[in-house]
Amino acid sequence: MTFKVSAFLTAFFLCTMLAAQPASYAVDLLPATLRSEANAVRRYRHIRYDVRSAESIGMQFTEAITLLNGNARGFTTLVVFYDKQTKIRSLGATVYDAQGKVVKKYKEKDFRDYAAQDGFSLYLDDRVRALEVAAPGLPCTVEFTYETENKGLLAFNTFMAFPTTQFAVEEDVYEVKAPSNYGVRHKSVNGAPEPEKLSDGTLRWTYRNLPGLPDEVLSPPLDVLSPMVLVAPNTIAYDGSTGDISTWENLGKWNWGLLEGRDKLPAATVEKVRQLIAGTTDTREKVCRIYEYMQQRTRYVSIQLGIGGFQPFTAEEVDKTGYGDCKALSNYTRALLKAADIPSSYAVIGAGDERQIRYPDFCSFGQANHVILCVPLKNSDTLWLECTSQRQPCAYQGDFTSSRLALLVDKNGGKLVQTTHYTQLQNKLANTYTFDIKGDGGAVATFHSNGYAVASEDYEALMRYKGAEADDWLALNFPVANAKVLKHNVVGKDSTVAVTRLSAEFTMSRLATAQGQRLFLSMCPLKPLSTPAIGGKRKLPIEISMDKLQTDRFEYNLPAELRVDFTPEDKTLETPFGSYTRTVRKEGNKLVTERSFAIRPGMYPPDQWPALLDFLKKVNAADAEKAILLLGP
Amino acid sequence: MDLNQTQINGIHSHLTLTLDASGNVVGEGDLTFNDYGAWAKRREIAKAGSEKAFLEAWAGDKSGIELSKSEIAPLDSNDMPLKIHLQGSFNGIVEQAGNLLLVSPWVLDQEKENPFTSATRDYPVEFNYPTVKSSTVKLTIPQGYMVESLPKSLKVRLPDGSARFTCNVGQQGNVITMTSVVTTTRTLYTPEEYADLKSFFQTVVDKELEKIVLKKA
Repeated sequence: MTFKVSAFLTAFFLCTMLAAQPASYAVDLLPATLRSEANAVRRYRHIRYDVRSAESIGMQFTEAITLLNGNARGFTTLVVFYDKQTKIRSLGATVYDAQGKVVKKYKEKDFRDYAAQDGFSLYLDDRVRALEVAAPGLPCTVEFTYETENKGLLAFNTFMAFPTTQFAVEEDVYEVKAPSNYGVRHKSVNGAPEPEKLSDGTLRWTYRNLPGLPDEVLSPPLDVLSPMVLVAPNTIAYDGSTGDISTWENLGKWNWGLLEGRDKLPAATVEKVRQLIAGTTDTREKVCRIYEYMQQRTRYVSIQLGIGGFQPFTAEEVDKTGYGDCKALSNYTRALLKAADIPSSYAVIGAGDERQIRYPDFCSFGQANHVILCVPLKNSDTLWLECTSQRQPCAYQGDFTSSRLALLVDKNGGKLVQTTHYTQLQNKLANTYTFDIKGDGGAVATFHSNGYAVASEDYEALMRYKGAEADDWLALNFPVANAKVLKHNVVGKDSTVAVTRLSAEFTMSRLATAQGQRLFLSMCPLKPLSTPAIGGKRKLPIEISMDKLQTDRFEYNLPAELRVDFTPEDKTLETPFGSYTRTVRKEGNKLVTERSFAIRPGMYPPDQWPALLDFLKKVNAADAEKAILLLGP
Repeated sequence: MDLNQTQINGIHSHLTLTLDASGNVVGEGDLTFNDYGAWAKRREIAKAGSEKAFLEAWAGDKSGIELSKSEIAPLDSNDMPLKIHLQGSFNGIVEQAGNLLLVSPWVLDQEKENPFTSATRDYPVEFNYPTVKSSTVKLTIPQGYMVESLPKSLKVRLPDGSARFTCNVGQQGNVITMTSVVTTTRTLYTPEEYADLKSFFQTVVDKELEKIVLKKA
């Protein structure tokens, strides 16, 4: 599943000359290939790590970005993290106008000091120095520099060419100098070059003259498209703890060391667990009873302090306070299951759309950001428990952590395993509608929808909304066009199956349009699938990550004075991207449409884009087909 | 200084469409904005960040538009009219019903909904400025098809003539020409005039929803 993304990028080459800062940042010196379709261009970046020992590492950073338009406004800000391990030694910024003339210079004291707020943690060690420069007008160039001293590093910054789409790179250099006994591992992916080795042992990687990635829908994420170099140490020294993280196996073993002995529970809780599981011999039943008990007793709070960024609170602590983060809650649940003689594994994972353990052959911290619990059953099923959620049904992962690798932490070494993949048949959205057609072509209707597995998450947000917020959500997301929802009800969390049920009453102003004695009736009155308005040749590969099946049953109650003159022919579409069927039948005095639309996951080369668009347009055309009813005898 | 706004905001569109027997529609058209309309559109485009982002958002609620060419000019001006030129396919305007094709012609700037939905009104209605909206659509129908029904021409106005709507529909050979002109000259209406105003706009919406029905000959 590799695509020649490098074929799209202009060729870049290793340069044996010393990496040099350009003489001028004048915007008209930018080659046209870098300027077109870019919101910003990195004129020059130099990152250098000087590893003197595992406990003494210096880092120097310089970056100059030319902002071409308002979309690049995020690049006027620099945020530098520091904590007990990291000290900032210098900070500076310079702003240049379009001609490359210095407009303003900022000093270290212009960078304000804040506590790092990640948006959900209650306590963090991290602090930041931050500065937002004022742009003198567009285009302009902003240059930031800083230096840090680290008492130990967990990871080297990933050398990623593109932080976003529509961002070009002119000259980009990354260097690591380390003693031979320190052990630096590296991996170049997505077309990034291998390093040159300089005479003093420095490893140097260079990107040069890379045009930006266009903004195209359904493309793979940036960490698949952007040339990237991963760099990681073999050993880490952190907050008094040292560890071998040279392989996932060793990382798993080091992480186990942080968990050891932290699973003791008070006697009362152990007794409670025994009571919970009494009366059943089914292991899955026991796991779910314990999981639901844990869900009711605890809530998620994120606290990252020093090694606490990696070491969970003890199970006793969670039992007493009733809160913890993903590490603590997973460890606590593990302790509860242990009290019931059910073995489970603390599992480190990359969660959400943006993070995943992608490289089983390259271990680095940056690939993971979450912890869940893995419970293997004797019948070779595996239950994955999301311990931070109070709502989630037992053993339902959702697409937060499904279909990817997890590292099971174990005292004999970590092991990478694949989490659940929810298939189309599981991710089903089943909708039924009934319509009472009015004389003016409008309709009064009902809607019932059951969303299973990943499809159940579609209605998660609505479950939390009331009043105007719920109305807004429905106006945006209700599947029928021109509908006004009068009332709705949504329930979720069936204890054994992930399913959310939404029911609604709504009216439509124009379900049928009259022309003379004829009434044209929409047989699938859904909002059309959106297709891009701007045509043109696609450059990026296509990635469809959905694996979803939607079934719709539309029942039209026909008044006595209308008779059916014509119903659309059956329609079937079959493509690699998905399939579609639609039939219309008369059932007594009802017209019934049965529709089924399935999307399959896959990666396709850009030349398949017209075929995918054609499929979506054919679905829209089939949905838009009308039946003809006649007024009168 | 007269505080009553007399400068008219003008929106004019011309669209030429050709329909083929498979239901594909290719077309070319212009949207021209004058005065305040031009100023508002330029602001919208600047806010979208790029012409491409603006056009994607604009086409978002008009299903089935795929542009092969677009031009928006002049962007850097405070008072010149703004012209958006478009070329591409407009397949979303055709729906199939057996051997009939239903065409919704007002794709560029259709009045989709009546802005006035309440049954009653307590406060006066104030428009920012007088407006003229004129749309012309020229549709060539495919060989082997004939016109089964066309929307009828219509002329309505408010009792005092301050709001007027004219819709003209004509056919010559296999070319259908339609024009729709909506003019509002007053910017302030009392709550007592609300019912008439609401009904006026409903007439515009209903007329622009009417479809051209083509039948296989």
